[in-house]
Amino acid sequence: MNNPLRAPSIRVTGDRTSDTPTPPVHLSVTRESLLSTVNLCKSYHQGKCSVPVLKGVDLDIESGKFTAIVGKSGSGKSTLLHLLGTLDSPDSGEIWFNAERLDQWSLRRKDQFRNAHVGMIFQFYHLLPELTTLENVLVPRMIQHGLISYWRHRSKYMRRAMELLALVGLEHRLHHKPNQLSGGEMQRTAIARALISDPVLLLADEPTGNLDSDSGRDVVDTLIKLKQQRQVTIVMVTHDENIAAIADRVIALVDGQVQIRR
Amino acid sequence: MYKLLLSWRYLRTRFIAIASIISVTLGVATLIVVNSVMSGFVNEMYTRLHAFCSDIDMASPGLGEIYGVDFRIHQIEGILGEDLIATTGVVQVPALLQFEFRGRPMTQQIMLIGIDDVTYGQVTDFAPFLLNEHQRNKLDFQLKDDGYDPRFGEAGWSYRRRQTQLLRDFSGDMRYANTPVSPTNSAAPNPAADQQAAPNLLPLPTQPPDLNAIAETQTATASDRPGLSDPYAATRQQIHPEEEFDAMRDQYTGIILGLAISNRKFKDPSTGENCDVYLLRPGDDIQLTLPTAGPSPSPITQNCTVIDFYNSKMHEYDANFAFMPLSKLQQIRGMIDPTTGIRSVSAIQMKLRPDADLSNARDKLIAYFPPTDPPFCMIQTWLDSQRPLLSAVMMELTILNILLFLIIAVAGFGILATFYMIVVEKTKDIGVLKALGASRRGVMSIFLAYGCSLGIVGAGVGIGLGLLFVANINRIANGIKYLTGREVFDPTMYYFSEIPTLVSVWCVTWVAVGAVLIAVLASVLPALRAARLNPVEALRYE
Repeated sequence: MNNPLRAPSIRVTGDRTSDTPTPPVHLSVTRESLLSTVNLCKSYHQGKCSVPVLKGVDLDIESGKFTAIVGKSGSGKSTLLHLLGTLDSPDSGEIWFNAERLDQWSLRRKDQFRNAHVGMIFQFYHLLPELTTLENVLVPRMIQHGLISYWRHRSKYMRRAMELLALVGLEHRLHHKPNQLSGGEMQRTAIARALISDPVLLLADEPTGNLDSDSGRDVVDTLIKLKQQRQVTIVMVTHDENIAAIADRVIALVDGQVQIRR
Repeated sequence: MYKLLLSWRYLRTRFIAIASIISVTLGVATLIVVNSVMSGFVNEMYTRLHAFCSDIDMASPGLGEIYGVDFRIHQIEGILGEDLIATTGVVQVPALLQFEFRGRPMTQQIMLIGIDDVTYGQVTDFAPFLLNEHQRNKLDFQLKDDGYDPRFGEAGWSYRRRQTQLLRDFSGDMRYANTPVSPTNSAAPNPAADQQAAPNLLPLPTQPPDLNAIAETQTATASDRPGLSDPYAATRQQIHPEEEFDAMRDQYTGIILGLAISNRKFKDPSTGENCDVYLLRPGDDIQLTLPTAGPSPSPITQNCTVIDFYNSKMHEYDANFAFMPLSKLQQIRGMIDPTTGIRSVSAIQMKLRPDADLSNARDKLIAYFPPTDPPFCMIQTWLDSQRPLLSAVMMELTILNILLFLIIAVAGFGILATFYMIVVEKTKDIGVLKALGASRRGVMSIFLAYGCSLGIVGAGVGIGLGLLFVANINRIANGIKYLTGREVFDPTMYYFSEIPTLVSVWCVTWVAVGAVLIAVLASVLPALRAARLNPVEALRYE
């Protein structure tokens, strides 16, 4: 019997030979470090005006830990999360994943990385409105496979998606469209979607920001449970001090730089 | 997999997609209907034009003659070899046609064509357009008892005899019963009788005659003054007892007229329906006036009996052409050399093998018979002679297709705008897909597949709708006429009983492929935009 919460194995598909220098010596990379950044800078440009958001961020994300990133609005929390998730590219600096320079990968390899190893959860859930709950959860697997390959593994993935939806308590909502779900249900669907590829890293951008306190609590409890059962590394951007309090590690962003609180 | 799933869901759930499908559907259906109707017209026109035109026509200009027709045909056979299937000589001459209808003399100009009853049918598809079934099977220029088109009512010998009897009965003059119009052979048309005879078509009485008075006159004529009606009757009977012309049993030279010469169409003001009137029927006599051949033409008159009509449904032909036996026309126009018996014609017509190169054959003939040397002929293929009409129709078809293509192009830009809107509307979803690992190519494929499926559905429905429309076009035209009171297709104008259509599989295929291609091309730009969206900005998009 397949254990839905078994520990993930780390696999990076694609070209591994191009950008694999030795790890940087000045960074204290621990054995548990999954993701790290070195002097990460990012600015947004509006015409001739340039607004620096991240000004040299050095950061270690430990494997299997729950890291909370806190900070004021506009401090660059979401930008940092997008850079870690390869949705955006830094102006300068380095991002290391499993001893590889993530920021130098090709677009295709970044796509494969996001698809296979990163689960993303957003404040506004971002489910696809045309698809049912079950289909939404299956989307990462559909992206991963071609038509024939997906069809061959279809029943296995369906079973897995249903297990995940049962895990987040939505087994009775399989064939509902997102507009028929509550905010909490949508967010739990998004969590199930983030887990379908068995990721090693879960990036959550204020997942409780749009939920009432009870629903928010449910979502956080689910994430904590996952972390404990499956050793998933969680990086969560949050405003909520209560959530930050239960994180293993809290990183505060102030003026585009990291202040490690705990 | 997700590309197909999302394309399918977008197709099913977006109203805007249905609007795009409808625009493609209407474009495809319109193109199919218009092309089918135009092809139908063109095909019908080609068939009818070609039916009356030989493949190659070697004609002497004006009233000129080609002497020694047999020798020329022998030369042509040598030039064209196995390409040549059949040849025939014809005489074409303008003539005046005179007849009476309800007492009013009518005259009109026609083109009289003398044809050989055997070879002319081999060169052209003349026979199928004849209305009498016996003449269709074997052309002999003899009036028949039956086999006439029911639209004439009574026609043929029975009509001729009844008309003759009516004239005799109502004229009150027994001369009609006894007086020969001219000496004639009752078994076959007599050339002398045809030319010398005065018109024997007396007007029908405008007032009903007093039958008692007629009966008295007849009794008196018969009993008291037997010689008064025709003092020479007894003598003539002694000289030519067997050559009396009796319209009850004799006919003049047979002539076949175009139906439109006799037929007048009009709209009945009381009922609003189209009505047909026939000024002449098979069995009526007419008179022709035509010029003789040679350097100084002089007019001659010729009596003929209408033995049949032809209906090519080309108004220009049906209203102008009349056919009579070639040998008769050559004889009365003096186109037979009295010493040698060599005949001349005004044109030699040729039929070639179906796969023969007409232009090449024409060029070979022109090289052999230059227009500057005897017999001074104009040599043309049927396409050459009909070029003004055919090129006008083809130009019409081309312009129509260009205009319709522009309409489809407008529909294409409509699809482009629609797709752009869909991409803008789906910006956030595109961001999500990219965040979940979808590649640029994958996102682009969603919208290309969407465009393609939209085109396929639109084209499929369009083909069905277009073919359905074409199949029921006449019913639809009648329906529109019933609803609006306006005639969509006026048979009096076209001489077609209904709208002709011809569906070409190639045309339908090209229209469908073109529509799908336009839909895909229209989706390329929006798909590129979607592929290039920055996922971070797309996720922030509200």
